[in-house]
Amino acid sequence: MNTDFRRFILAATIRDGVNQKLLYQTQKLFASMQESIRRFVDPYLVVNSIKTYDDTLIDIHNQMDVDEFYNLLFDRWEFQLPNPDDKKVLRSFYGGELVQQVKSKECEHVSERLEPFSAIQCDIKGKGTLQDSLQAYVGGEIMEGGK
Amino acid sequence: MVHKKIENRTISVLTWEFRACLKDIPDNLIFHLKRFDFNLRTMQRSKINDYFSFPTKIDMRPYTIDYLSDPDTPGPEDIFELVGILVHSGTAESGHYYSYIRERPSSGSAETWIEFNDDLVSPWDPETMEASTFGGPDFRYDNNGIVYDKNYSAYMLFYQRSNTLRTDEETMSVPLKVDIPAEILDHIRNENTYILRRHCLFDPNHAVFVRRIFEHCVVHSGACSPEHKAEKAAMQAALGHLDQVVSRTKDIPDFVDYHDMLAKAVKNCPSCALGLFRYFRDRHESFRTLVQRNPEQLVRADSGDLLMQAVATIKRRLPEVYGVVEDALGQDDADGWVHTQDVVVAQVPHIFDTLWLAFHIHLRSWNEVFGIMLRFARLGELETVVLLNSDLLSRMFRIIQADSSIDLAPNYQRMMTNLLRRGLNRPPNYENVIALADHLMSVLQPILGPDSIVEKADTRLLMYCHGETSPAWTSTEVLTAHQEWTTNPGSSIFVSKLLEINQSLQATDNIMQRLVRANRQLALKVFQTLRGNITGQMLQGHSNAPYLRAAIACCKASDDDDTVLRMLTHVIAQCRQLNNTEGRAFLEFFQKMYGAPSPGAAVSPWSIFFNMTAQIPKWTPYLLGYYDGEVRWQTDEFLQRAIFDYGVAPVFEPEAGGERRKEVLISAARELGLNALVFLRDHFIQRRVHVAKDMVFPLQRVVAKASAYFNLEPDEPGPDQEFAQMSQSKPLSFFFLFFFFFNLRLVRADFEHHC
Repeated sequence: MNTDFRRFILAATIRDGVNQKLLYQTQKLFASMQESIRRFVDPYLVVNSIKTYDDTLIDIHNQMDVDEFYNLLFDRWEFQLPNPDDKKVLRSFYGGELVQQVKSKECEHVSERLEPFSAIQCDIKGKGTLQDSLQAYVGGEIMEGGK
Repeated sequence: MVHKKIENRTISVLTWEFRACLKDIPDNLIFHLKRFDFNLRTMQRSKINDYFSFPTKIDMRPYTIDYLSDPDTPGPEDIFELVGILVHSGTAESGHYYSYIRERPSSGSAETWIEFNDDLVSPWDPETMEASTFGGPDFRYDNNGIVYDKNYSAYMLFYQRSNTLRTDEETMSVPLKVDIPAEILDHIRNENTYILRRHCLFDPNHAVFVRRIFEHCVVHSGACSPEHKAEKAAMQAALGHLDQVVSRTKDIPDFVDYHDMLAKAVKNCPSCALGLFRYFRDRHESFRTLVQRNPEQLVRADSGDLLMQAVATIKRRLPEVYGVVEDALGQDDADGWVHTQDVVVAQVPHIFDTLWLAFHIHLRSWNEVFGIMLRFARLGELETVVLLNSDLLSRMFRIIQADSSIDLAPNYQRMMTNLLRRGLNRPPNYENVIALADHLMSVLQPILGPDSIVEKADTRLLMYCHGETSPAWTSTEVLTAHQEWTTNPGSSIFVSKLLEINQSLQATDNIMQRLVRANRQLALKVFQTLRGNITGQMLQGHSNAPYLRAAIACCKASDDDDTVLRMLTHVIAQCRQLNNTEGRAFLEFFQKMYGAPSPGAAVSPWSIFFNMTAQIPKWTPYLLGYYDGEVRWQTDEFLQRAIFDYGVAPVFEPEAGGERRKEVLISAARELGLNALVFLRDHFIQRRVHVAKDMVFPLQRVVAKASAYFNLEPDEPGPDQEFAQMSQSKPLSFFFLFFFFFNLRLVRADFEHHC
C-alpha cells in the first residue's frame, strides 16, 4: 500500500473548507478507510466535490474514461494544495518523466524534449504482451514529409 | 535526401524518426492500456477486447533513455512488481470497474491478492489472472462454434519498484496507520462508538444488562431516593430498551421480566410512576407501537397495563399533579381548569387520541387499546367524563353500528374493508369496545329528552366542572342509536349489530336496558328490532339466541306491560312453528322470564306473571315434542316446577298471588293436558310417524300428570269429557295403557305429599 501517499494527503493543511473541499473530503475518506469499523465507505462526498473542466459536477451515470478521470482528479488535488512544494510532491508519487526524441535522417541532429507523464500509454492493437507494447513505444515511428 | 516521383513531380522527402522513452520512473508506475478506440470515420467509440498479457515482474531498464542511448553497456536491473490491476467489464458506453490488489506488506510467506468490487471485498486467487484479466476469446461459452471475446479485461496496471517493496516490508508495522487530523479522527471515533453500540444493542446480554442496572437503582435499593436522579435515568434506559429492543425481539424472552420489574416500581413509587407516564406522554408513537402494533398480545396488554398502573399511582399519591377537580368545581376557574393541559388526567386522552388515529387499521389490538381506555375510565367519574368529552362514546357506537349499507366516514369505511378482509370467521375482539360503551353510558342522563342532549361532545367536561354531574348525550350518540335500516324501517341498525356481534354479554344487556329506559321512541325501536329478529324459521346465517337473550333483559327493564306482553306473544308464536335448531334458546327465554314476583310486589309484575302462566300451555307442547332430547326433558322439568309441583289444590297466601293464582294455575294445567293430547294426535298419530319412544315420552308424562286435574268420568260434555275421550281413544290408549296408570299412581302419590 502506498502509505506515503495516504500520509501526504492527511497531512495537508485545510484552511478554506469551500475552496479546498475536495482535499478535505479526500482526507475524510482516507481517514474513514483507516479508522472506521464500517464494512465499507461510500465516496459520494468526494465525488460530489470534483468539478469537471467545464466547471460542472461529475455525472456519475456517464461512463468516464479512467485516464481522463485520473488526470482530472490529480489536477484538482494539486490545485487545492496550499503550497507550491506540495504540488510537486503530489506529482512525484505516481508520475515520472519521459523524453521525446526527434531524429532527422538527413542530419545527425537530435532534439529532445522532457515531458512529465502520469501513466504510460500502451497500445493494445497488434501487441500481445506488455513488453511488446513497451518495445513499440520506445521503438519509434518513421514519418515522411515532402517539399 | 531521397527523391520520389509523385504525379510527374519530383519531391524531396525528408524523414524523421520519433520515439519516446522513459527518463525518470516513479516507484509507483501506472500503465494505461489503450482499450478504448475512437474511430474518426464513424465518430464512434469502441472497446478493444483483444488478448493482452502482462508479467508479474518486469525490468523497466530497457525502456529508459540511459539504456537506449548506450545499449551495449548493461546497467543494473530496475525490477518492478505487479501490485494492482484495474479491470473494466462492459462496453465503451457503459460498464463496471473493479480491482485486484496485492496485499502489501504480505501477511504471510505467500502473496495474497484481494478483489475490490464496490462494497464487496474478497480474497482473489492470482492463478486466475490470465482468465480474469488478459481478455481475448472466451472459450467457455461456445455457441454453435462462435466464440466471443470476453468483455472484461485489465485496463490499468499498477507496478511498484521491487526495492521499495522490500523496504516497506521491513519497516512497516501492521496495522498500518498514519496520523489523522484530530477533528476528523474524533468524528470517526464517535461514529464507531455509535455503530458498536447499535450492534451491541441487539446482543441478548444487553437486555439483561439494562435490566440489572434498573434493578440495582430501583428495586434493590429499597425505597427510591428523594432526588430520584439515578432512578430516573435507569427508568429512561429501561423504557427505551423495552420500547426499541425487548418488545421486538423474537419470542420476547425478556419482556415478562421487564414488565414485572417496571410494574413493581410504578406501583410503589410515585416518582417512578410519573417518570414512566411522562416517557410515554412525550412519545406517543412508541406507546402506540407497543400497544397497538406489536404482534404479541402479551406485549400489547402488559404495556397498556403499565401505563394505567402508573396513572393510578399518580392519582393516588400525587393528586395535584394528577389534577384535582374538586377545587375547580362550581367556581369561576372551572373554565381555566378545563383548558389546563399540565395535569396528568388531561394528558391521558391525548395519548388515546393517537391510538384512535389508527384504530381502523389495527383490528387485532382492539381489545388492548380499548381495554386501556376502559381501565382509565374506571378510575373514576372525572376520568369517564374526560373520555366522554373526547367523543369516545359516539366512536364506540359507530364501531358497533358500522355496516356496508350505510354512509360511513372514511376511517370507518376502511375499518369495514379491513373487517371483511379478516373474514367472517375471524371477527375482531369487541369485548372492550362494548364494555367501554357500557361504562361510558352508565354515567349519562338516564332519560333522553331535549334537556339531556347537546350538540358537541367537548362541552361535557366544562359542564361537569360547573356541577353538572350527569353528562348529557350528544346528538351523534342519539342518532347512531336510532338510525334505522332502510330495508327494515322501525328497526335499529345499532341494536342489530350489537346483538350480532354477540360479545361481552353482560355489557350488551346493560346497554340494551339503558336504551329501553331512555325514552319511549327508542324502546319501541328496540323491541321492534328484537321481534324482527326472533323467528322460528330456519334462516341461513341467522342466530336467534342473542336476540332472545337480549329480549329478557329488555323486558325486565321495561315498565310498559303491553310491550312486554307483546314480546311474549311474539316469542310464543314463533315457538309454535319452530323449524330451526334453536330450541334451547327459546326454552331458556321462558325459563328466565318466568318467575313469581316477590311477595308484596306491585300489581304489574303479577299481571304479567298470570299472563305468562296462562300462556304456558300454548308453547310447551311444541318444545315437549322438539327433536332435541335435552330440550324435551328440560321443558318437562320446567312444567313440573311451574305447575305440577303445586298439586291439584294449591293454596296461596294473598301476597303470593292468592286465589287468582290458584285459578290460573289449575286452568293452565288443564289446558296443558288438552293441548298435549292434541299435539300427540296431530303430530304423531294422524301422521302415522314411527318415532322412538323417547320422543313421545315427555308429552305422555305431561298428559298423565295433567289427568289429575280432570274428572275422568264426567257426566256432561265439556273439557273433562273431551280430555277423557281423547286420552282413552283407541290409538292413544294403546300408547297410554301402561304409562297412564303407572304414572297416575306416581302423580297421586306426589299430590298426597304436597297437600
